[in-house]
Amino acid sequence: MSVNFFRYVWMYSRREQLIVLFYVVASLPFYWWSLDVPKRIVNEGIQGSVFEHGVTQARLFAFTISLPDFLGGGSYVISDGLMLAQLPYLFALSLVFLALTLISGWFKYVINIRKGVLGERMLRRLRFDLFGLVMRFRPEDIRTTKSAEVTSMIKDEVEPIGGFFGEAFITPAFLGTQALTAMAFILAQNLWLGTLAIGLILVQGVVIPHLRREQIRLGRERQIESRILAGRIGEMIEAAPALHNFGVTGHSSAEIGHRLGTLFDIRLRLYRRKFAVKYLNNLLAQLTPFVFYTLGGYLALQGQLDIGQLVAVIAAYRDLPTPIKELIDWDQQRADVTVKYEQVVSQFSKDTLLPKETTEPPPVIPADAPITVVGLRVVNGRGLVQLDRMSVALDRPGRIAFAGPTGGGRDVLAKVIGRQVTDYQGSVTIGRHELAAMSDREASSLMLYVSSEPFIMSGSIRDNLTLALRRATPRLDERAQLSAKQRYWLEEARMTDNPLVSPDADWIDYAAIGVSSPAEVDTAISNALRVVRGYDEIFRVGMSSRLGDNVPPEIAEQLLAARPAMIERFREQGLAQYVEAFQPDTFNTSASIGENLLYGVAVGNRFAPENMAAEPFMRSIIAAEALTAPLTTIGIKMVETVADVFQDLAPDNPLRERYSFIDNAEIEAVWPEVRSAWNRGQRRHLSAQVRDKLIGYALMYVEPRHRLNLIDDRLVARILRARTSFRQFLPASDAKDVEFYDEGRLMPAASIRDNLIFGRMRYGKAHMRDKLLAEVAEVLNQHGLESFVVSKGLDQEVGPGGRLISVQQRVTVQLARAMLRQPDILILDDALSSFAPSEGHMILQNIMDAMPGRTIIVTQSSEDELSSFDMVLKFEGAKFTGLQRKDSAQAASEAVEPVPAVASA
Amino acid sequence: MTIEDEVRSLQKFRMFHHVEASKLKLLAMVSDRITFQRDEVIYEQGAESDAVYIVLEGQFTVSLRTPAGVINFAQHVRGAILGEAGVLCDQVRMVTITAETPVVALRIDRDIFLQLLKESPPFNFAVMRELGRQIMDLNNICAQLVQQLPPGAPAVDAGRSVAEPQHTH
Repeated sequence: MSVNFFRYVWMYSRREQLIVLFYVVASLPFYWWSLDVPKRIVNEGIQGSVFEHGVTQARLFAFTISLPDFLGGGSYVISDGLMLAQLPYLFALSLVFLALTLISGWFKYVINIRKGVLGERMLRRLRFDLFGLVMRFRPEDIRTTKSAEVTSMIKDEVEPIGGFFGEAFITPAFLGTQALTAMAFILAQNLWLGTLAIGLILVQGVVIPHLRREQIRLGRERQIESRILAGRIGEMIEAAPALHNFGVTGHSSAEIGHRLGTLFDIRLRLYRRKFAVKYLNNLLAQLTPFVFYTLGGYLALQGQLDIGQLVAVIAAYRDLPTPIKELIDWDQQRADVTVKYEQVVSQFSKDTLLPKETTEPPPVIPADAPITVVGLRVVNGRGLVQLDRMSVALDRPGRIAFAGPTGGGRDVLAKVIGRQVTDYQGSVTIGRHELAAMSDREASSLMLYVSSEPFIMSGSIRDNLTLALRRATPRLDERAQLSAKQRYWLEEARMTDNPLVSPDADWIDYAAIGVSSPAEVDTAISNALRVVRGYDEIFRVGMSSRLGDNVPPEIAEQLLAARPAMIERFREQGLAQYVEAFQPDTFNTSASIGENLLYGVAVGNRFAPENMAAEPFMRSIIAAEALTAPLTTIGIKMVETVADVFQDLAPDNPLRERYSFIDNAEIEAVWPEVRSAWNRGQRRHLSAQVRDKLIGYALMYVEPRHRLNLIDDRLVARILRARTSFRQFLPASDAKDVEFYDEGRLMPAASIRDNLIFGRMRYGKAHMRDKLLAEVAEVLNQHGLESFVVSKGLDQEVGPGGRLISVQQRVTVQLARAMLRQPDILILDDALSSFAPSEGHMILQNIMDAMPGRTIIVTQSSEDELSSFDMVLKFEGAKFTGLQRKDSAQAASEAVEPVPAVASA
Repeated sequence: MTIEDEVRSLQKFRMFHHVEASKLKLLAMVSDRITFQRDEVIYEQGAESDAVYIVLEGQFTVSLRTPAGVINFAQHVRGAILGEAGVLCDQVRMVTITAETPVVALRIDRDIFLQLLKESPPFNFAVMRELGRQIMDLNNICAQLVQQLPPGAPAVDAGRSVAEPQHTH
């Protein structure tokens, strides 16, 4: 990327710039005429200079082209023009003036539009180029880059540069020629006035930029300071949990406050300077008319200048400061923007970048070409040796362990082979290709590096899994019929060297996972998940995820069919008593009072458990069935119990979990009022707000869970009546807010599991939940719903950075991603550390079994079981201490010998 | 049965004599009341120690699977706390507990139990006293067993487990 701004602009927008320049030049004659015509209107039309001496008609619109003498002279009459009286003459001239104004306006419009488009295109290109550069940073450089700073540079800092792209060549050309035209015009009218104007403009042109130098310096300072601010804010947001943990948010706030102060100071100085310059500029601009009026007026009175000329000069001059001012502005902007541009570009130019991505197929590397490490030595940025000079040949295929303590040479070597460290001495080659020099495409088709820090992007689990497969680079279909819009998109992308293929196209490399259609991808995903022991987890996630609205009809049918089968199966297994099915005329003791009232699933927030108590319709039903008083009593009893038992516990104590819907702060607000009302025996005097809260608590009450013995038969009867009337009187327009339980219908708002069980699991049995869920899974499988459930599980959103799923799920996703790709070489750098050792071991075993004939490199601690590896490299600290092969259990030191002689330096 | 009833039951147990009623109420509120039928396994040897049980009613058997067969070595009645050692030492279940009559127990999740120990010194003390009492009982039993040994029998070793080798699950 060119460091010189103008070179960059010229290189990529030459054609457009020239076209706009052409428009600029074409507009000039009209500009001249639009200056000339007012003079003629005043002199000829109004004052009647051509109608003197009794002439009643004058000729207008006579065009004659005269050839210069050296071409032989002579003139050609194009039009004889019209003979007009004074009044029509005036009107005609005025109309000409109007037309000229319109034409000039049109030129301005076209030029501005073209300039804008040009600028936007260049901005798109620049941003894309910068992004491309970041993507080519070496892993080491990426790690030291603050993402928020880069974001702010690509997004905000180049924005003003974008505005200037269109201006870079056109504005000086346009305004310059305009100013020159105006100057020439003034000079043509009167030499003296012209010289004077030029003098004043020169003063402006010299003094103002000088004053603005400081302004530019301050601008640069502001840019750097705000970039750092963006970086720090980004960092602090990421570190927010830690900052809270240590209680040091005060210090961070102070730092941000200080930075804002610095920024404020810079901005303030900038403003002062800016307006001072503006003031001076205006003053100089106004000084000239003063001179014109006095001097020009004097000359006119003296008869050396006619009034028309003076008016035209003043008109021309009125137009003159604008171009001149804008020119000065342009120059200021130029200085500003080139500084910004150079600043940004220098941030993006590193000494070494990864090679550019190519689209050609990577060279074939034989499957048994060993990984040859010769004289490898890694020193970090501070000169610390991370891996001492070592040489070794890793045979492929094979199962290779790097054994040693964490943080030592084993991790570094794994990172070098995984291309996470590319700044090393010596060489690491596979089939004579140097690792650090490989392109992504080349390397990724050969090997895959998996670390203990999974990279999860927002989207669904499926998106994250198939991320590894999005490398097919779909070809553009040349013959496809494109709509106008598509053509426009394509054309614009082509003009800015952006990728032509849409990200929504099918990027999945089906061949790589041995399938031929998108439908089979889920099967491949399932297999990969099985290998890393994550399948059951995803199935569970699927079971508990919302059924959703767009269920294919055949699936819906199967689900409904599975419901009775489920009950039958529970009966067979003797589990039926542990599930309390929903029945329209029976109180479900395992469900809360609120659920019993609603007898359905809330869609949206209106009837959600936490809002139910305050919902007017629900409240009217509660009141109508005389439930207000009993529910309030239940609420009071719950509050009483909680206030009594939990009084000494901190608000976030896990022991409060069961009553977590009763907020501690609320208790403190509600309890005194409840107690005083209670003491006076005046329950009716509770405020509406407190009553709402109490009823809300009561609606959450589940007898077998909370065991306060608060539900009796009379209450049950009332609740059942309320249930009926709720359903009966619910306005048809609100029917969408609730889905009532109905054995013959699915509930899109409930989970798949709840749809199947159609009831609540009873409390009071240990491990029953797991047993029941296992049965549910079994029935789902029997009804051919397994793949549907799994695909629902894969639809689960992971949140930004995977925050919605557990750490282990993230690792599982990352491992499954690697298994989907089936690389020739898989590097597991501490990738299993978040699992319990036995679980990690089983996963590793599964991975090894799933990759016969391929190479797996695993970092292990020395205490780990290493017998399943073909080759074990031992490390101590930064030193490679020995190698063990399975077949020939040679002593460590001997095995190092056969490799080239640089073994220790 | 309500929390109040459970608290009354707990108050009768020797181990909770010195724990005030409000803490017993807390204990009851954070636990689940679970019933087991006759012959139902309360927990299995080798399973994860995920909870502690306090038996309110019923009898149960403690048994140990060894390579040489199953040893049933004790019967207990209500008032016992079960599984606390495994939870405290972060070990899998050492023995299998089976209900001999219908059993009613309070089940306290592992984390909740540990939190409770931190939160309530009297409760903590009660659990310690119970463990201490168990050690004393065991010492007594050991001494009686040693008395029954023929002279010259090999020494016993705490590190050697008679239980069936663990299977990773």
